[in-house]
Formats: sequence, C-alpha cells, structure tokens
Amino acid sequence: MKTVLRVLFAALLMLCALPLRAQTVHLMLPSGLEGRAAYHAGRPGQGAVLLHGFLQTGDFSTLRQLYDGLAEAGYTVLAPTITLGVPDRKENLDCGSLHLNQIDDEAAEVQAWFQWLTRRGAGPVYALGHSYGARLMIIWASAHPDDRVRGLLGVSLIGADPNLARAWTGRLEKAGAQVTVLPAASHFMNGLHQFALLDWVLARLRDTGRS
Amino acid sequence: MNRRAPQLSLTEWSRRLFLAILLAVLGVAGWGLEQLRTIDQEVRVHRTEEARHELRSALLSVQSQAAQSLHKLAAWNETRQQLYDPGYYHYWLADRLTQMDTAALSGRAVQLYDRLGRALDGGLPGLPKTLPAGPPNVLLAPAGSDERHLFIYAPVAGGNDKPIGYIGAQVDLPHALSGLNGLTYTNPNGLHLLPAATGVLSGTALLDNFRYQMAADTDWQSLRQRILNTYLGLALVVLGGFLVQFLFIHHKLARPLKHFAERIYRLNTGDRELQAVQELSKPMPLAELEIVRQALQGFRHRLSEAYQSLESRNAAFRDQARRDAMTGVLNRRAFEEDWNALLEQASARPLTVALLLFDCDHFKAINDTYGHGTGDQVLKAICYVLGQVMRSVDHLYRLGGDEFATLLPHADEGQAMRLAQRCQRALEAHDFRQYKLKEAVSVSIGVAVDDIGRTDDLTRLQARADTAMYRAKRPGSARVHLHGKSEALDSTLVASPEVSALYRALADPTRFQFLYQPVVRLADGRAEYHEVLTRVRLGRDVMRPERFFEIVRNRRLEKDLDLAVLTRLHQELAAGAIPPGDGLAVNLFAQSLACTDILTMLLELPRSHPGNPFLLEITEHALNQEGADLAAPMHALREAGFRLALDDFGKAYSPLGHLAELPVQYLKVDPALTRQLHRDDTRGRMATRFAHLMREAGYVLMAEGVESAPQLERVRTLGFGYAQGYFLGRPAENLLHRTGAAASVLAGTPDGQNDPDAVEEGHQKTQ
Repeated sequence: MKTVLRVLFAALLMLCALPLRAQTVHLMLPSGLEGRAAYHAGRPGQGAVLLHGFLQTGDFSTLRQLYDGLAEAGYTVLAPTITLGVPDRKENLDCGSLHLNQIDDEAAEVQAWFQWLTRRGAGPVYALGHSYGARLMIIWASAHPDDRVRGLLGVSLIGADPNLARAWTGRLEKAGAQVTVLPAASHFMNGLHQFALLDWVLARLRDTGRS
Repeated sequence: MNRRAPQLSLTEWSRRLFLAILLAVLGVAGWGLEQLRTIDQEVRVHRTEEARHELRSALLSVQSQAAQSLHKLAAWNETRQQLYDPGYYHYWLADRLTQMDTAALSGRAVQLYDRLGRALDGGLPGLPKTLPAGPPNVLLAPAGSDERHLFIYAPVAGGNDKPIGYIGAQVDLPHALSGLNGLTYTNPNGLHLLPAATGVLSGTALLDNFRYQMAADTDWQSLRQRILNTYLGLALVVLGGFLVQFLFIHHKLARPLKHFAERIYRLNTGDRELQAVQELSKPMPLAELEIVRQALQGFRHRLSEAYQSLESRNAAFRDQARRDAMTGVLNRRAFEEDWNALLEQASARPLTVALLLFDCDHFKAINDTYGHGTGDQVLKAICYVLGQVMRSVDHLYRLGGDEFATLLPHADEGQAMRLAQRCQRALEAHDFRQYKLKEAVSVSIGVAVDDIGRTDDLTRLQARADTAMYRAKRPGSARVHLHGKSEALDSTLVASPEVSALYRALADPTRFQFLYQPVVRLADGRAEYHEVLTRVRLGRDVMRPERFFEIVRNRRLEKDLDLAVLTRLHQELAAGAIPPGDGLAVNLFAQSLACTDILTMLLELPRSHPGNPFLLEITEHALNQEGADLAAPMHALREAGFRLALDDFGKAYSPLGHLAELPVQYLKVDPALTRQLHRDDTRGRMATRFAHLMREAGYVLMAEGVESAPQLERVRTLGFGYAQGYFLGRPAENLLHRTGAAASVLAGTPDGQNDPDAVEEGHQKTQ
C-alpha cells in the first residue's frame, strides 16, 4: 500500500513538474560549434549550472531529476550539453565514435555557458556535476575562478570502485570538501536514491546560501 | 443436259468427309490458337500494367525506405560531427557508418556534402561530387552516374534548422528491390535506368526512365503449354480416329463394296468369270451387305439352275434336231456337223477317217410291195441291228431314204472292214420275216478309208464310199466292198454338182426340163409323135444327156427317173401343155416295167388322156433281161392302148432272140445305125439288109438321127415308117408340126409301104 501511495505521489509530482518543462536554448560557442542547453528561468538571485557525465547530455536522467527539483525549488537552472565536437548534440555520444575534443574545450564551453547565464542576471551560481561532469566542473572552476560561483557540488564524483572511493573520500575531506556517501546508491542514483540526492542537494544549497 | 450430281464412290465420300473434318479440326484449332493468342495478349497487357504498378510501388517504397534511412543518418550525432570536423572522414565512413543500420541503402555508397553541396574530401568514386539538382528525399538520376544506381540525399540540420550539410547515398536498385520480396511481375535484375534519364525521378515519369524486364510468367506459360498440348492431343486423337475410320471404311466397306459392285456388274454384262463367282462366295464384312450378297448368291444360283435347265433343254432340242424322227438315229445334218468337227480336229493333225455307207437292197420294192409301214419297220430293224454291233462312240446317221452311214475316226482299213463285216453278219442273222416279208432283206455296205486334212470336204470320201457301195451292189458281190486309199476314183460315182442336180430333180420333177422332138410319119410327113426328152438343168446350162444317163445307170436310178418323168408328164398333160391329137413318145427303162407304181402311172395315161396316142420307147437294154419278166407288163401296156417301141435298136447288137418274145411293134433304130444305112460299104449293106430284115419281120422301123435330106430320102426308100432328127425338127420346149426343109422331100413320093397302120396290121398277123 505504501508503494502504491508512493507511485501516486511520484505521478503527482511529475504532473506538477510539467509547467516547469525545460526550455531549450542554443549558444554559438567559441569553438564555432552550436551549443545546446536546457534552461529554466527561476527566481533571480540564485542559479545553478548542471554538468552531465561522460558522453551524456544535459537531458540525462540523473541530471534531469536534479534540474526539475531545482527548478521547482525556484532556481534558475541551466543544463548545457557539452558538444564533444558534435554541433547541437542531442544524444549521448557513442563510445566508439571519434573523440577529437579536449577537456580544455569542454571547460571553455562550460565557461561560455556560465557567462551566458550570468548575463541573464542569475546572481550567485552554484555548479553541480555528475560523474565526469563533476570533474569537468572542478577543472572549469580551477581554470576560470569567479566570485559569482557560490559553490561546487559533485555527484558521483568518484567512480563506483569502493576502494577507489574510500581513498578519494579521505583525500577530499582533507582538502576541505564536505563528502556525503549515500550507501547502496548506484553511480547514477537510480530509483529512490534520486530523491535522496535531490534532498541532499537542496539542503546543501540552502546551507551554502545561509552561510 | 443431265445435270445430276456426280456419283462418287464410298472411298471418295469418306475421303472428302475426312478432308472436311481435317479442315474443321484445323479451323477449330486455328480459332483456339487465336483465342489463346488473344488471352496471351490480354495477360501480357495485364501483366505489363501490373508490372508498371508494382514497379512504381516498389520504387516509391525504395525511395521511402532510402529517405528514411538517410534521415536517420542525417539526424545522427556523428554525421554532424563529421560535417564539423572531417579529420577522420574516411575512417568514419568505413568504420562508424557501417555500424549504422542502413540496409535500405547500399552500404558504403554514402557520402557527406557541406552546406554548399560539395562532397567532403573530394568525394567518393561512383557518387556525384556535388549534390545533383533536385529536392531531397527523392530518387535522383545524377548525370553521368552509373546507370544502375540512383541517388538520394537529405539535409543535415544544425541547431537552428538550417542545414549544415547534406548526406547523400547511392541506391542500388536491384539490391533494394530484391530486399522488397514483393515483385511478382517484374524481374528485379532486369531493371535498368535509361542512359538518357536525368534529374528527378518521380510521379508519372518515374517508370519512363527505366528499362525493365517482365518476370517470366511461368504459371500462364505452363497453362498455355498445357492447353496447346491438350489441343494437339485432341486434334491428333480426332484426326487419328477419323483416319482409322477412313481406313476402316476403305478396307472393310468401300473396297469389298467396290469389288461386290464389279462382280454384280460383270454378272450383269454376262461375263461369267469363275473368279467373279468365287469372290461373290466370300462373306462380306458388313451385315447389310452380307444379306445383299446372300440374296444375290441365291438369285444367281437360281438363275444358274434356270440357265442349266435351259441349256439341257436346248441340248435336247439340238439332239432332236440332229436325230431322225423315225429311226432315232442321227440325221444328215448331224452327219455334216460331226464331219465338220472331224475336219476341225484334222486341221490340227492329219486324221484317217473311215466312212461306212449302208444301203438296203431293193428297199423301194419292199416299200412298194408291203407298204411304208413295213418299210419303216425294216429300216428300224436295220438301225437296231447296226446299233447293237457298233461301239457306243460310233454313231449311225441316216443320210436319207434307206441310206445310212457311220464315221470312224482313227480307223484303218482293216478295222473298218471288220466292223462292216460284223454289221453284215449281224444283219444276215436278223430275222426279217417277223415283218411278214417273203424275201430276205440284204444291205450293201460301202467302205472308204482316207486321210483327211483341213482343206478336205466330204466329197472325196463320200465318192469313195459311193464307189464301194456300187461295187458291193453288183450281182455276185459279197455286199461289202472297200474302196482303198490307193484306188482311183470313178468320176460318175463321185458326188458332184451334176449328181446333186439330178437328185434334186428326182425329188422335185418340176426341175426337169422337157423337150419335144417331132417323130415324123414318112407316109404323110405328119409329126405324129413327139418324143419327150428329159433334161436336167445344171445352173444355166443343161447337163449333157449322155452324162445324165450315165449317172442314172451307175446309180441305178432308172426307176426313180421314170417315176419322176411320168409324174411330170401327168402334170404337163393335166396342165394342157399337149394338145389333143398329138402323140407322145415316152422313154422307159426296161427295169421300170417291173415296177408296179410305174405301171400304174403308165396305165393311167391313156385312161386320162384318150385323145393322145402314146408310144413307149423301151431301151434296147430290155433285151438283156429275161424277156418273160418283161412280156407280161408289156402286153398289159399294149392292151391299154400303148404302142411299144424298142429304143436304141442296133446300138448294142442285142441278141435278137429275145426280141420276138416281146410285144414290140416298133423298132427305133439308133442314130449310129441310121448313119450306116447311107454308106455304100459292107457295114452299109449289112445295115440295109438288117433294116429290110426287120421290116419284113413285121416291125415298123423308126429312124433316129436323120440330119440331112439324103438320109431322109434313104430311110424313106428303105421303107422306114417314121423318122426323127435335126433335119426334121430339133428338140424344143414346144411341140412343132412344121418340118421345114423336110416337107418338100416328103411331099414327093407317097409310098404305101411306109404306111405304119398297114405295118401294124401285118405285125398283128404275125403274132
């Protein structure tokens, strides 16, 4: 019975989210490629940039969940799709396809989108990345330090290998980052973990905003 | 003009029928084939339309699939990636693109074009370097491209819907069509783009740019083949059937019928060939014809029986015609037929034939004495006896009267004589007294044997047999005589035209010619008598009297002649040819005096014609007979009023001893003796003295053969009572009374000595 109620609730949530459906925006990137992103204009003063994982798009489900949640929470949200050399990319890029782009190109694209967002007056911006997107976020933040960036959130920053994760968790905490581990959650935070993730993200953003 | 339909034989009819059926079958077959051809055409048109329709659908389907595939490729990330950075274009084409599902396209024949329509990296072989003119997503025929391939392209959209480039692909049509699996009427491998086709291939013009082949129409073709085979089989069966029927009709019906008809025709035309009859006896193969045949056969049998019966009746008639009615033996006609048959036989090979002639002696006397009934009985008895003796193969022929004959082919003289003698013995043994005859009946047989050949006639053999018969009849003969092959013929006995003329005259006395020669009484020169001279005509001539009498004597026809002459004389007198008062001198054979018939006829003469004195001139030959036999009839004649003269007196110097026994008043001196009276030598004197002697004995002398005035004078001087001769009158058909030159001689000296009446009285005194 609980499960049924939960599904009904989820469906209700989905219905509520519909008016918040993302707007697709295009941006001519410095590389000459046409970029693409999902954009939701929220309340002014707080914005978020969501970065997808390896070869994925801004529409990837894990990210989409966060996007919708943030948009609902009133954030101005931008979820660009990193072109990876493909103009107006809409789909995941195949593993076997040609990979000619470099991580600096990707960081430049993130910077371009960040500037585009700030031009819209989004106020302090939070950066949020999933998986490889979290790493790109760090690289971008390192390459383009900006005061308007209020905080960086990395979801599934570290790969799924438990040993590797344990090692990196210590190191990140040493570097001053706050690390939360959702036990039993997968790399892509499927299922109920996505709600936990959203709750966690919103809590973090609120924390950071008050501080 | 007879315009009847020609009458054809059954074979001809069936042949025409067969030809008509052949034509009909051919016609139906032709119609069927025409129908088949029409259907074939309709099927072809239908299939063509279907093919066009099908091909059009197929092409549109290919186009649609190709466009779909191309659209998918155009929407693919990596396509756009290549248009942005074609650094590894060829790798991408070879490695990445092939992994995409592009079945509708022909694999690697895909290439990208930039936003200006230029092929990336200079283009691939077989694909246009620049985008051809024409809208996207339709089949295009790029100029100069491989004719087998079509081209289709689609724009690759960038972010703001403006194409950032194009993707184009070759469409391998056969490959694409074979993938459709739906082509029924067309052969996908036969589809070719026409070289002239360029540009957009769409709409109604789509198919016009293709050359395509129809798929093999196996169903219809096999059905058509089956129909044709059925047709052919049916036609063969029908024609074969009718051919068999035709042959059957020809062999089993027409030919027997034809032969049958020919048989009947031949029977009808009288050609009674044995084979025709035999063939008619074969059964006919057809029941109806068999009935006709049997009926005809029966009819023919009955006809044959009727014919045979007719034949046998004819044979009987023929036999009757060949038989003598009275005796039952074959007649003269049969004899001549059989003789001709023998001649026919002899024409092949010479043949020896014996002819036996039988003649009953004195048959006339028997007939006259005992009557015809007895005579016939005698003849029948003779035939019976001879029939008993002869072999069955030998035939007896009655040649006429009492004359019979038989012919023995291949017989030699000995055989013929033996048979003749056997006959003679058998006849001698036969008792003729049963017919109440007082005297014995004898038959004379003349036998002749001769070789006959083709050119022979009966005359020679018959003449030999006649001669033999003559010899056999002579007194003292054995009554059988053979005239051998080597013996010469006596011409008087030969059957000749003269003999047959004589016989004909004897049978019909009117054939005789009577001539009258005056016998003049010298006392007053009057032709007191006319001598009746009998002559026989031979064609236009008259037979010489000497020859005539020779035949009569040789054939012993004296009595027959006298009888015939008397018959004729009766006729002449009855017809009034002799005026009353005229005397007639009639010649008579001495033998005739023994014949009752002749005597009867003679005695009838003075009774019927008292006005005519009759002088009978009896041949001197009478003196050779026994005078006593002749005396009685002569006396009877004298008493009846006849005057009797001895004819030919002095010719044979007959014994005068018999003369006195005969009641003869006149002596007719033979012309030879008359001529001697005139001579002045020993003979003359002898004759003169003889004349004196006879006159003095009381006989009246009559001179015959007086041919001149001195002769007449001489006989008158010698005291002859009568004279006859050319000087006094030639024999003529009419009685003559004028004596011409002789009259003056006679007018001179009437002499009482010459008065015959005085002589007669004197003679009577001497009796």
